[in-house]
Amino acid sequence: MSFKNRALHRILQGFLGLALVAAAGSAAAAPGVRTVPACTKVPVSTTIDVPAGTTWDGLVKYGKWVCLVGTPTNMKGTQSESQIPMFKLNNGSTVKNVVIGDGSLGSGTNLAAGGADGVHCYGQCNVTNVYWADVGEDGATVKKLSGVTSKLTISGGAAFKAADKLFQHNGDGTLVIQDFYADNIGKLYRSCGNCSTQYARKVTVTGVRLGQVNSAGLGVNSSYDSKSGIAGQYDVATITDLVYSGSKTKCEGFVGTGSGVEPVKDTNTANVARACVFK
Amino acid sequence: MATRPLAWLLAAGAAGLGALALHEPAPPTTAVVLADGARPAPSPVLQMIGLAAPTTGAAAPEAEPAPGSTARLLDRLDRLREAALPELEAFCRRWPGHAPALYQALADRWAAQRLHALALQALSRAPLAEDLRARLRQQLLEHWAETAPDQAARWALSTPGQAERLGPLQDRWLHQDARAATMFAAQLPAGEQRRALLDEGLSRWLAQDGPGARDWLRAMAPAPELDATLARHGASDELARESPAEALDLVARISAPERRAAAWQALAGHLHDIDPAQAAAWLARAPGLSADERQRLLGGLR
Repeated sequence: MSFKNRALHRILQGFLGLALVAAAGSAAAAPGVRTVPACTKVPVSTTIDVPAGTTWDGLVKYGKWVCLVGTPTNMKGTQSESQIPMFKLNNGSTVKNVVIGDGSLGSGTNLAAGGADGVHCYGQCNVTNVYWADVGEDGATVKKLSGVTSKLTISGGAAFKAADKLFQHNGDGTLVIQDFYADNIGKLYRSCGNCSTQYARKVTVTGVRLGQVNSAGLGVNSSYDSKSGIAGQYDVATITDLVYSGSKTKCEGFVGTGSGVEPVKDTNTANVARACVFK
Repeated sequence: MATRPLAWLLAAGAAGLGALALHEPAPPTTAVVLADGARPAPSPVLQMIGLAAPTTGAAAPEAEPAPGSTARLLDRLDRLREAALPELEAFCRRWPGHAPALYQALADRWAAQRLHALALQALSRAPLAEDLRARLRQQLLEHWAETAPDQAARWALSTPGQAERLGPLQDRWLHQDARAATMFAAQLPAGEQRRALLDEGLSRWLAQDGPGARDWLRAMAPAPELDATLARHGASDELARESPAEALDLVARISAPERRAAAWQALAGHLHDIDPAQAAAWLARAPGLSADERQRLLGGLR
């Protein structure tokens, strides 16, 4: 091998090494593949209301991992809009260490597995180390509480089998998803495209691993039209350490609009670039 | 002299006939062919389980083993364990159609007896299609991870080529005993795997038993591999609501200055969200936070 070839070889080796280090570094903060804990099924017939400023901890309450399975028709967890939530989190409350839904029914995404409409957060809430064994209508939804800027922090845990969106942002403020794993989902996150009151929302994704994604990673409103009431504003998704190797878009831009109108994809790439910020 | 070639020919012919007469008859063609192609002499054991039947002449094609032979084989595997594996392997080579059910039964029985390591060893040398071997191995590992995750993780650590299984095994262990799984990760050799498993372990331990995990973190010397956990948990909204003093203490333990500064900022934001009137008072108690830094943080909140 000539000196020139050897030098080229070394340079290529150096680049390969750097690429490997970069790949390892970028994947370092995301968790590995997670599985649902073995759990005891607990039938649930109505929404669990968590008072403001309190914590509902499944391990503390039951002393073991339980799977909460909704039994009435409106908690079966199908894509019916009449589903009620499994948890209603009031301002400043936390739910942790619990499994929502029955993951043993199969691999489909509309199995009536009792996931209900997941978790509804009013104001500022935390969802910590929660597993959605089979996502119902949605995994968690941010709702607006008057006088409080919404902030839902989802930290730890995992979600499986979501026919559509996993985390739905209808209120204002910020949704934080960190240290999380999701597999076989439509979208990890969607900012409401046609809510009657629209807000420029923020979502922060840090240390998240996605398995199979059927639609897109995140769906944000990279612009809002005149029917939205906030034309000229836009959502911002800040994405760090999102590990996903599938073919779907990691972050997709839509034109947010008003109630009764179906939002369309934002074709303006500059809008999408300002709304989907990869760090 | 002219008769000498004829005499040599006659002598050679006689020797050849003699050699033929002395040659042992070829061994019967048995269906038991070991991996190296050798044909072992039929043993009483093989005869008992139906493997040594063709003892005369060419082997007749046997469609099925003798009735009850699989049950007898499984019984011997239960009693003799690895000593009976060669019989199982020979049987499965002879009747490959029975191999999936036999190895499934072996995996189920040995898993029930907590002989997971032995069952995995048996699978590694089994005459099975690779996809079936992988499926059975996965079943065994899942069962092992559920019943004795600590043993499974230690097996993965000590068995060459199995280190990549540590992550999934630790995942199951963390559901059962987050503290023990985290301690295990903390004792791994330094490197990326330890950092990742320690971070994952602490994340889950903190969620399941926050006070216990925080005690452990406080007992540790500042280390870069703990920074991610300290930043994520110390600067979390949940801890700021539950125990602001502990949140301040954890953030102060972050070793990297830039990361610590970002965590102070996030925590200050949470404290302000929770109670704007109390945010300054809480930050005044933050260990290691200078008055200038505190003012900068408060200024950023207004």
